[in-house]
Amino acid sequence: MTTAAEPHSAAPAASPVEAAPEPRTVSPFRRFVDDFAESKVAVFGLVVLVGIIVLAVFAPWIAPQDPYDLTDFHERDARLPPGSERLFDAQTFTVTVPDLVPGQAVAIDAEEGVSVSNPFVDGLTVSAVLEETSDGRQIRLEVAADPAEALGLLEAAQLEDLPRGPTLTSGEKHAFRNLWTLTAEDFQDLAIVLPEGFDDEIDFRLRLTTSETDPGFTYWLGTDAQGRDMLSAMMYGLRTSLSVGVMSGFFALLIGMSLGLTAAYFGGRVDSLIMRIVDLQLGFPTILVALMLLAILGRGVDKVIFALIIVQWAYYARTARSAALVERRKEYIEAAACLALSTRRIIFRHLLPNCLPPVIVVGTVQVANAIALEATLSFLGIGLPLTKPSLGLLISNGFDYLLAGKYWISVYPGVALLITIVSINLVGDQLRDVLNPRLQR
Amino acid sequence: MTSAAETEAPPIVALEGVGKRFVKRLDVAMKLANMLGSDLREEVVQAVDDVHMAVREGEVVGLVGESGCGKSTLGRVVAGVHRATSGRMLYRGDDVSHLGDRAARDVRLKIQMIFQDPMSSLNPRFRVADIIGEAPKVHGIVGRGELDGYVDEMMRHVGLDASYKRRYPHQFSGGQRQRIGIARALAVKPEFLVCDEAVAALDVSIQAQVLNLFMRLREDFGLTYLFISHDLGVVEHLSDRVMIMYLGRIVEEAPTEALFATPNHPYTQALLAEVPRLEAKRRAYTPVKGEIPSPLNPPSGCHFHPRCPHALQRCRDEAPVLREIAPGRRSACHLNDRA
Ligand SMILES: Nc1ncnc2c1ncn2[C@@H]1O[C@H](COP(=O)(O)OP(=O)(O)OP(=O)(O)O)[C@@H](O)[C@H]1O
Ligand code: SF4
Ligand SMILES: [Mg+2]
Repeated sequence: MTTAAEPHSAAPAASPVEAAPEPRTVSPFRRFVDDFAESKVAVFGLVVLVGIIVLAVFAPWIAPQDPYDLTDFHERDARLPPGSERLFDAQTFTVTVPDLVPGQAVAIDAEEGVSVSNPFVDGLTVSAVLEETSDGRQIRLEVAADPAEALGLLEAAQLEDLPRGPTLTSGEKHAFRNLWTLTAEDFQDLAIVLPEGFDDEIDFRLRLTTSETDPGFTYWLGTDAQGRDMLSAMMYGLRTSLSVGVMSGFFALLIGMSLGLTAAYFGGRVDSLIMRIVDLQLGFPTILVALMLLAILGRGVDKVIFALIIVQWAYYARTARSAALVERRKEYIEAAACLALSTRRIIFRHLLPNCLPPVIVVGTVQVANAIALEATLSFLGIGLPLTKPSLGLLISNGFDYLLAGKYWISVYPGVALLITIVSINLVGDQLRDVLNPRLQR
Repeated sequence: MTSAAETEAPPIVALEGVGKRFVKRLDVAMKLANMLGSDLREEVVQAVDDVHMAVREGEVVGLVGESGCGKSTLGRVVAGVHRATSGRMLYRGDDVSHLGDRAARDVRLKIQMIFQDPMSSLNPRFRVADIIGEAPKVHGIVGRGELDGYVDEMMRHVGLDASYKRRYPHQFSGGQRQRIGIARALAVKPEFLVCDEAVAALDVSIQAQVLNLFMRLREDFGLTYLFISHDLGVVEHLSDRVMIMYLGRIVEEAPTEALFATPNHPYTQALLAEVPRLEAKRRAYTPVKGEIPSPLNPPSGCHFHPRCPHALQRCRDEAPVLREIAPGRRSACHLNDRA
């Protein structure tokens, strides 16, 4: 009770009879956040989970490679161990020098033997300039690259079939063949010196050899059997796994919760009917039902999601119903009926929000289960199509190489799957503790 | 108490032979079990049985009975939370089950209920302002712009500081929560309040404050009350008239003073058996001897006969009817026939 020091309070009717328990206004959400943060492990799990989600969502922008773009990776990179650099083919240019005018640069086209799939070295060009010097005439050869760093990839070159007479300013001639071997430094200052009175047409073959690895691109987690970067493949795989898990979880929640609330609110026959179907559904092993469904429906992201919804909705329905049965008996629902609020309003504004906590807990656990189940199905080869590899499919793909010691193809996606599921479960466990009505103050 | 002028107008609420049965039907599994030879029956509870009563405008009627006798169920039927399974209920002379949607809604709003548990009767996810303001807003009782001020006014009526309206129920004490519940009911401009054990869950000191609030609101708003309680002291203090209920039936009905002075029905007499006390201020009552029979399987004839000290053979065979024994007094006991 408020103790009145003055004989008469100024406000006539407004004086509260009992003292307020605490002065600040704490919203249920704020309280929920504080409670959640009490477990450091759960907060750690949440941070990891958020990290995983960010990786998955932004995979197209942050992954080093697009694992779905067949032109982006190459067979020769297949099964490289973690930490390897990307491999290239050596480049070969064959060059014919046209009529040259002193002082004017002429680009020399490569004619054949230039292999594709080397994005850096594709930009290499060789140009020739006829110069008059005090010693006579010479053709200066210059190598340029686009982008310029690609020049660093140039390791060696060979010049073949030069006509008799002209010599090179640097490089080493073969003991008896018409073959000059050049190092990368030799290119810094390279010219063909023409002897006095030489007037023949000059043509020769220039073979440029680039380094075999690309120091600018490392496969930190190795590559798979197709030469894909595992890191990129896993980020995309995570994206597929998470979206399949979340989408199926979301729709299963929507369907299950509506049915569960309906069963609880109306009771009687409706309740019996719905709950018998739920019992039936939960009586079958999840994996079996999913296997049968996919055997009938075939592969595909949509089909996997559909199958996961079918095997999961019953969990949500059961949880929502039992929560709603408890909430429905509470007097605020009767009060709402007394206030002549519509049934729809009572179910969706009063009943549903109060039934949400246990459903959310089941939701997090079920999303983890869905991801694991999808991985299992893909591992068994009936889940997602090969063009959209999920973590499960990646594990499955690498399984054959496991015994050959190429562990990374299977193990890293497996670890990613494990971390994802464990972090979701850590968050789910803490949610259960925080939202448990029996533990609520 | 009743005045002569009031007897002319139709009662604000009248029940005519109202009954409420709860039936727990057999589900498929139980039916299957029955086919295999077990003997499972539907569970039927006649929570309220053939109740006739009339409450006049401005009256406070107390409803007393042991736990499980159907007081709350009767209150819920009156408040429109449950539909009666038999009989009819009249509001100012109109049968409520024959009203159109709009009129039925209006009657429903006119009769509001105050609940026992002040915590579970408030939606924990709503702020006080929403708890009180939802129904007036939805039903257009006040315009959008005035809602805020209206909620403040309701809070002031029940002695709550309007500055607390952004809080959630868990931030209040029990007495304050009950006040919020009262404000929520007041906000739809009711004429009739059903108070179901409305102070039972509160501390004794707070009980008195809330009871005083009820009496003040009665004067300020001209309210009529059906006051359900198992606390005879509270009922005596508050009511103009008392009805005693036993296993779904009204067994005695009388003006408060008369009932406490000369209880007629043996059950009432048992209820009123006082514990001798030194202080004369507050009376204490002993619980009635004997076990309360299961409402699933009530005794035949007069439901009270297994516990009644005066029971006759006739009491086992035949249920006594609630009959007038004096002006304004009714009782259901075969003993009254002998006079
Ligand atoms: N929704 C329901 N479904 C089935 N049976 C019910 C329901 N509500 C009440 N009953 C039964 O009806 C009978 C009367 O219950 P009610 O709650 O009206 O008693 P009460 O007099 O209010 O008791 P208390 O003093 O304990 O509140 C009880 O036997 C109870 O089990
Ligand atoms: S009718 Fe018979 S059993 Fe019932 S209260 Fe009267 S005397 Fe007792
Ligand atoms: Mg009750």
